[in-house]
Amino acid sequence: MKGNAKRDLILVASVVLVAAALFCAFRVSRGEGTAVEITVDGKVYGTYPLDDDREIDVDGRLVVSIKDGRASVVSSSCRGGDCVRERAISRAGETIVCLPGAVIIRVTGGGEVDARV
Amino acid sequence: MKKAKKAALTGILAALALALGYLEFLIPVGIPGVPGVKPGFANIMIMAALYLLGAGEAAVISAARILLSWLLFGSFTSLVYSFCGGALSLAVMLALKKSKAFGFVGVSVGGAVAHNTAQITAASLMLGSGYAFYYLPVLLTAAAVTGTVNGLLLKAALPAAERIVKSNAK
Repeated sequence: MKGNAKRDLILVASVVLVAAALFCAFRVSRGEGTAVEITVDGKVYGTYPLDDDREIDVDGRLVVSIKDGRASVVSSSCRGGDCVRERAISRAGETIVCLPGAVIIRVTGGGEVDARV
Repeated sequence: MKKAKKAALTGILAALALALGYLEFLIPVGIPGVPGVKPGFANIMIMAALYLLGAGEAAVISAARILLSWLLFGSFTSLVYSFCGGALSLAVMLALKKSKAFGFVGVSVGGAVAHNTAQITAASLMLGSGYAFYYLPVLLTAAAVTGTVNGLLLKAALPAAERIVKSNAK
């Protein structure tokens, strides 16, 4: 069981290391964003500039607010409301995903990577 | 173990798994700024089944828990995500347990990582976009933490559960 405990520790440590490496890779590849692209059911619903403060009603599913160059979800008709608790996004490639509503809010522009992860 | 006893134990563990899942639903133990991350206590019962009964019983408990919690408080999409997560998680836990190279914590963390990876993959496929993968580092870290906690809880609870199961064996 001693050896197992050691291997358990190695497994946990590797998971954390992989997470940290991925986090850094994603972070570095992001520049400042310029616009917000909202996707509903896999189709682009609309693109809105980040320097233009406004509120967008997305198909009655949720309301996105753009303020001071940052986008966040202010209200949602879904049950969990996880998307509302997400932090506001402003860097290229950052996303807020509402799974129940099938809505993706993504910042575009800047040094955005073309490759899809 | 007698067949009736096995069935009864499967039922008890399934009920406990459902109750623990419901508890998480009632009292979201989320971390601010990190939504959607749950401790996954129900997995303790799935693992208990894996060690006390067998892979078949663990699969039955996992499927029953997913179906019942979907009926009680879910949506169709959550059912798809749950099944993907549950199936891959169980497969990985079974493989890690069979390898005999890992303890409760290793098996539990492996299951949690598999669960979260499967769910984000299912989400990416359903949303038709790979951007959900940006959330993977958060989910992997969460899996390491929750998996360790659940593994330690199982390690503490399993000897007592084994004693109870064996003491009534006639």
